[in-house]
Amino acid sequence: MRAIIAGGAVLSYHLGKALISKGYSVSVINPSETDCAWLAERLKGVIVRGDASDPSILDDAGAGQVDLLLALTASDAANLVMCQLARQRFGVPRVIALANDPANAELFPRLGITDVVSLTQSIAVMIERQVGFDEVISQLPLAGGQIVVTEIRLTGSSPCLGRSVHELDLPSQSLIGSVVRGSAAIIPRGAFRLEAGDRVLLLASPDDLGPALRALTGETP
Amino acid sequence: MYVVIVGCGRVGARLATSLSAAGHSVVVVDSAAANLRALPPEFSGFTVKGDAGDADVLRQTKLDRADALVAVTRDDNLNLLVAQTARALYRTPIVLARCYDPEREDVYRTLGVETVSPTSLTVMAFLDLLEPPRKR
Repeated sequence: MRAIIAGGAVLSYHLGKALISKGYSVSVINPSETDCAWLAERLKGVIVRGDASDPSILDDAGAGQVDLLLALTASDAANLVMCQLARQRFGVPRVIALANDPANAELFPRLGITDVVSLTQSIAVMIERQVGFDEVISQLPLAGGQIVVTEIRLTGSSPCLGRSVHELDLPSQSLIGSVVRGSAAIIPRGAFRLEAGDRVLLLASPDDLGPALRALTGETP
Repeated sequence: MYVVIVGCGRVGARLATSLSAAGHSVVVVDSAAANLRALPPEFSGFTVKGDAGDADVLRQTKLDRADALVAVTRDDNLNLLVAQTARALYRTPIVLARCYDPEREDVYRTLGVETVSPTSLTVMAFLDLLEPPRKR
């Protein structure tokens, strides 16, 4: 598998390293000579200096042969254009765009770029996770951050222990999608009672996530 | 006609002034207040200061009521983003974007964005002067 990464040097380096460790050949595109030299010293990949929304630079980075393009620059316009060029001109099968402006996370799918990472949403979710809730194990924003899937381990102090799902005061835009108890994965109905040690998969809108987490964990971040 | 012009450089300002003088309603957007202030007195339209890549700024131009949008900032990518936003979100009937890079322009023609490339136009103009069309 081959991938092109266009974005800031530090982000490109760490993502590049992660992809290389998964067996990818990686090309990084960066406009700065200093950044390119820094990357070339550290990363076992091809470093191309230039503007990644320029078709000839994409070509130099091997866009004709890659399986994946990650457009992660600070310019949403550049990210959109390089994804569209990669698709239309080079036939890259998978393109992922960073949307720095949350409004573009909604716009890009309407312009044919369906895989969008919303920076603001992702960071907001991660910060919420860091500052609060010890019981949260992992979190995944979906659909441009409109839905957040959160994995929570219920401890002995959770206020919801022994209560059934329908007795919980969960906000309307939240739902317990699944509970993992021991090795069993359960899709809980209203009468299902929660126990300490349960791993709960919560689906919630960003607005209702906080109240739903408080109902499940009893914590106030 | 109600025309939104994005970018108030030399091209944007002259286009806005000509359209305005011809009796059209014109709104010009630019992130630099100095560019908007430099519009000549003949320009009788409105101005919006802000980054056209920002959805709120575009909304302020009342793009939903516009007959045409022309994106002529110095940034090809921004022009292409704004043009596609106008088409997809506002259903603006006429959408035109300047694109300096002729190679980028080819791709956007296939995506249905109408573009004007000053690079191609300049090359053609020089070729015509160097060897008039009938001799080629």
